Amino acid sequence: MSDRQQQFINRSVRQLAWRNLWRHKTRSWLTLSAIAITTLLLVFMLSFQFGTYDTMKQQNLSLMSGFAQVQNPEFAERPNLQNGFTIGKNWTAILDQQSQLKHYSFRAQSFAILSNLSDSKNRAVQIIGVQPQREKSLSSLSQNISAGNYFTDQNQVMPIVLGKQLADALELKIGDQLQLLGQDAYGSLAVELFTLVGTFDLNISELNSQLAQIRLSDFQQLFAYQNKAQQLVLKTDKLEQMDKLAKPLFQKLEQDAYPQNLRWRDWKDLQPGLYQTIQMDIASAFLWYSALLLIVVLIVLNTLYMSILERHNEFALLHALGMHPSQISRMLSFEMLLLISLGLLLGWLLSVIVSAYFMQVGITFPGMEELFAQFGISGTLYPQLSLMSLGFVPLVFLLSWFLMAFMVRFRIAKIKPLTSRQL
Amino acid sequence: MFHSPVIECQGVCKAFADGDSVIKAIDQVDLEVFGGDFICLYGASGSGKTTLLNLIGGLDRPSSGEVFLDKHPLSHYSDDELTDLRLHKIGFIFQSYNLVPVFSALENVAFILQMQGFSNRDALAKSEYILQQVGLSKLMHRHPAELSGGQQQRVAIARAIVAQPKIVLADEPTANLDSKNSEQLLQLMKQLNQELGTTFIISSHDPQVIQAAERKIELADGKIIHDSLA
Repeated sequence: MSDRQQQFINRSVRQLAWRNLWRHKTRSWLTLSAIAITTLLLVFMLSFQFGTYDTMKQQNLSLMSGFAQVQNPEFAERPNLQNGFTIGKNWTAILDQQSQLKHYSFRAQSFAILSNLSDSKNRAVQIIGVQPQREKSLSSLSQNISAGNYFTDQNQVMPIVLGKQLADALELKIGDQLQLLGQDAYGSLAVELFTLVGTFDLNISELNSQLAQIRLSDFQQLFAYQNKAQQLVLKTDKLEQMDKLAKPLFQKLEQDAYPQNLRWRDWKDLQPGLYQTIQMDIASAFLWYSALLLIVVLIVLNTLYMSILERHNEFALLHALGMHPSQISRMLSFEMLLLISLGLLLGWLLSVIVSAYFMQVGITFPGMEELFAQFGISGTLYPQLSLMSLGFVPLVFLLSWFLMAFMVRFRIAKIKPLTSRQL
Repeated sequence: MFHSPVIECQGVCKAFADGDSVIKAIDQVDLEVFGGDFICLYGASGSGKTTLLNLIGGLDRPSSGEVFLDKHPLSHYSDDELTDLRLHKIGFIFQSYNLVPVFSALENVAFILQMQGFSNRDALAKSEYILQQVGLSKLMHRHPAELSGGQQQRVAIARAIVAQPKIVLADEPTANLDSKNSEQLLQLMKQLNQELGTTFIISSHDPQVIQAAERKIELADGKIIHDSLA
């Protein structure tokens, strides 16, 4: 038989499959709707979930840590001044060359005691030296200034920004002076007077009450840390871009800083709690989604299988008239594939429309802002369509179709041609 | 009538197990069918008419003996080869018409040709012609549910002959029809037999069919007890 003849035969088989699909319109529409609604629900729920994760990651990582950091290998375990690095001569040029790298900043940190000038109040704090201009686009802390400003006056001598709670505890107002007492990189006393230029309010009590920021240049001078830092904080537009950037950028930085040892820390390393929370949430959600999907898939497959069983005589007739069992099972597989594909397509279309709408306007949960704030997310969440959210349901249905097609093939292979005795 | 048989049965037996006992539905049947024959198999219920038809049509295999089609023994054919043989060389007409419900009359007929590898256009053109021959030119776009029993059986006949098979096997084709429709159908089959030279083997209780047949073969207890030419 020629290829052309085979094409005509295949076309006839497909035509019969298509007609069979609409033989019981109500049943086909019900099955199709079940697939479409399941797809709509799961795609939207997954998109919403991934959107929430995305918001959590963006907002958490934008607060302080950035999407990745370069550090001394010992710094994570012992974050002290000894575990810093010397900034490479060409680092700024290397970093500026990276088109995908949108923001970067150097930081150094230590612990110190802050006192007001009357010495009536003092607090142990974490003091961070930052590059204010770079931090403005890197960290959301600078956007949460509740009073004063974030190092806007470059002529200001020894400016300091404190958490609101910390400033209140030290009974300080904007413009007041305060004393910093610490220990520099060589163990000597580091003492300096600073002027409070701003306070921030992050809704995170620990940061509001224990964090202070000064300029990196002041930090380096005060703590005898010339040309050194402890963190190079990096940020791209999208988190995924950082994964592509990581290896080549780190190699260049490392080469330039030789013989220093450096360590690349991605967001999972920087925020293990956040990463594990998301992973656990994904695992439990997928368990529920899979259970739901399994129930729907079994119902759909049962319906399809029953419809095949009740048409046994029809297949035996087709076999008697000269249709091969392989052609009959191909016809049935195509029927099922059509039904599943139409359901998936409809569900996809609806879910993309619904998700796209909420991606624009977001979903707000009135009264939940405080709860969400604990996870570092705002009260408005945006679904995020992704390959995973779009692909999970079709993948399961197509795998089920594959299994069903195999079962049908196995069953139809045993079919005998219709004889009059069977009528 | 030709001298070389189209169908030949040699010592054909078909036995079915019924609990511990064995029932011989066909018992040592020897038969020769020639091209252009118009044969009626008749006999009481359970005499073996349908079983013999199934064996001749390659729908079933004999327990012993051999069925030859164009001198080729069917036992040498694999299941797939038998399927191809039914598609190309044998037409079937069933008591319950057995049309594909989702296809129109025209598509039901054309489907056989399409399965043989004909293009859609050729298959439809040829099927239209055959449906005109059986008097259904105005109803060819109707679905089986929209046709009467007689009309459905005409479609079944058109489907059986459209590929110009060597032989058409009809099992009680008039059983579900009234006498008027039966008569018309019978005339149609005879006309096709005479015009196209197609061999018809019809199993029937219907006296009209028995009377119209050129050759009458009576079966009883799985054996041919009477074989006569009109």
